[in-house]
Amino acid sequence: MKHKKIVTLALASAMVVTPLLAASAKAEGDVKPVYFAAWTNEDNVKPLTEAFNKDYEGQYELNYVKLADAATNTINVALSSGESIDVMTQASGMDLRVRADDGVYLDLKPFFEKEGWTYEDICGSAIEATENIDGGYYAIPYCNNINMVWFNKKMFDEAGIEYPKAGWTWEDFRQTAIALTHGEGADKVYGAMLDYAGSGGGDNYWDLIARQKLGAYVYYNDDFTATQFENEAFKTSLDFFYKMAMEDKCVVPYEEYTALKYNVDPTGMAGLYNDRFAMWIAPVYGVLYTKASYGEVPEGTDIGLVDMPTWEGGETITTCYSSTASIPANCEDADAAWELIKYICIERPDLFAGPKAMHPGIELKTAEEKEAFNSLIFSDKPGVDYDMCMETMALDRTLVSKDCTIKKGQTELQTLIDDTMTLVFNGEMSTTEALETLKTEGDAIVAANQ
Amino acid sequence: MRMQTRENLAGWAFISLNLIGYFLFKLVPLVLAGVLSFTKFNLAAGFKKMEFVGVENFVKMFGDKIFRVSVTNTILYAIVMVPVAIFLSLILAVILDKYVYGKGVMRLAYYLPNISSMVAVSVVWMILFLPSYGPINTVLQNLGIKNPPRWLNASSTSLISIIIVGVWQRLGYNIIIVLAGLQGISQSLYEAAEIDGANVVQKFFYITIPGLSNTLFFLTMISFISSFQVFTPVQVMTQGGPGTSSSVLVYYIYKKAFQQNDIGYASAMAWILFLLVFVFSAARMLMNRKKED
Repeated sequence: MKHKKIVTLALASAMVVTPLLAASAKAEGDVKPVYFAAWTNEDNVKPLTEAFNKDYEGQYELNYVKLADAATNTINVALSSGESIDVMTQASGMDLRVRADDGVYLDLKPFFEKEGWTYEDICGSAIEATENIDGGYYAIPYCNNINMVWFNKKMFDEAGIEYPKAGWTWEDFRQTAIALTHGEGADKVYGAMLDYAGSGGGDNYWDLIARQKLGAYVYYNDDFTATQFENEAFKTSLDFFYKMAMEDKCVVPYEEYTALKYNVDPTGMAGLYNDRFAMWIAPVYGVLYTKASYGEVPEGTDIGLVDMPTWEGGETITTCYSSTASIPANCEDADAAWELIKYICIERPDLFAGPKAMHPGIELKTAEEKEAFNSLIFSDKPGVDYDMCMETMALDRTLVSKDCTIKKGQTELQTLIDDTMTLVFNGEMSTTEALETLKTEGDAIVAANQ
Repeated sequence: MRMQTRENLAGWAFISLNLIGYFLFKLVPLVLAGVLSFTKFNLAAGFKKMEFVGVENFVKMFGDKIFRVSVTNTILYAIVMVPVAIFLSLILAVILDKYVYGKGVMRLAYYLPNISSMVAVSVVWMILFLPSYGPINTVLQNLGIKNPPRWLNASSTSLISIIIVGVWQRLGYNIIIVLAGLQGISQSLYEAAEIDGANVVQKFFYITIPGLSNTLFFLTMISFISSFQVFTPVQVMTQGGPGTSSSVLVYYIYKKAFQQNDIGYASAMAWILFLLVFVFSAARMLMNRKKED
């Protein structure tokens, strides 16, 4: 056969070249998609997506799965839908605990050990204590939301009142609020606004003073076998805010707070810069809502920031809470998921927490790191006193975590607290009666959930 | 193929889409909810971790104070809202039918609340009900009432406030149905009554109401069924408060299922709600049948 040699050579070449081509094609197609689910707006996730895809080029490709919201049900449905999710986020410590107990998430401790890290070194002891679930870690905080007092400097100037300073007392806060309150009816301007009673996602800030005095897991006794609403700190705390709301009438009353939706953070910030109230207790990320995309800030707005007061004064203790990220147990490639969660929470928190104006969940070790992150949070926020915010955040403070990863009937307990406080702040129940109800019914809930 | 068989097949073909929809989206979920009501189940853990608990969820309801309050409030809402809304719509429909100019505009005005988003409407009502400077209390104070109600912010009036919003929203739909019913009553009956010397009130009670009996029966059934399912105004305006004073069954089911992740217990309550509606509807139909006989 005339072309036998040529045909043989061609076939042999084909046998060698084809697998090589296939291998190279496989290498190109080997870029593994990884899926990150959260409720953050796409715009705020863009820096993370772009940076991750650049840093892991040829290895992983980040795909963002936008959830409607952070509600328990939304996340549960996403987790049980069978969709590919490598990293899931959540705002609730209680939800995290339930999912961890149900085997929905992977224990991340082996990954930390493989990296040669300890959880405490990375996140600090306060967060470690909250996230440690029977010796395992099922989530890493991607942010830490610190509660502070935002204030409208213009209103202070007009009233001739000095700006508050770190180390002030709750009594100073009250007197300042009284001095700043004026007007009647629809034109009334209040000295302060805070989510003092639970309502549709609002915070129960009526217990702030108790939290400052008693620390984390404030509702439970030391061995989590009962509540501790009989503790005098609760009475002090509730009486204080009750007096401000019902007697001094210097904080936005409950009825207005619910009707005007001040429990929604962007509305809270709008109330502050529109001179509806002079001080607002809220997380640092409240600053995000001065951005134009949430509404135009009026000309001349000047918002300041100060640490939360304490009962005795002279110190700065404030509450904080975290949102966390976890790896679902059914994810296809746990190592890829670990690379992603590590990137979001530990290596580059500036790319996810930063654009949301949140502090990172990890501990920033040096003053330079802290300054850089604070600058990221406070820069380009119209109407906000950047220098004051930077100076305030540079101060040392003790943080008390509000997160609760203890089961013991926590959701039922929270419902009881919400229901009881709506009665108190609508003037239908005394503070003594409320705390007695919380103690009696709360203990029954905890006992039933042991 | 026989003619009869062909006709039967064609009949089934016509209703098949509806039947498939009914089975997939009504019957299957209903049965599934029934199954779930005997389990301890949460969505995150999935079906693998579902635990059969027998009638535990149903027994739990008897000791659940909030469940009892929610059932009572739901029944109260229905038995106050439905008759009031029907009575007012009857009066307004008769007025709109005979005694006003610009019927079309008036009908539209009354019907608008019915096509408005209940969420938006509820937010507006929250402002109207504001105890301190809301428009309603401002009017009441100007009329000399020194301590007007605190509406949504008091246990004693929170449910009544929700009923007011319910009546206001329901009126438009009821009026349109009653107006349609009024067109079916022969004018000759009114003329004969006039000749006999009947006054307006007599004509209303002896001609209009009997002539609308089927319409009113339909409205009663539809209104009761929807009032048992009241949710949006409670969720937006009071979240069941102050305390649990305005908690209704669907809101409590929602709270248990989607906030507290207790799907089994919520399914059991959903079945109780279904039975409540079923028993009421059956009783009402029986009453009507007896009356017709």
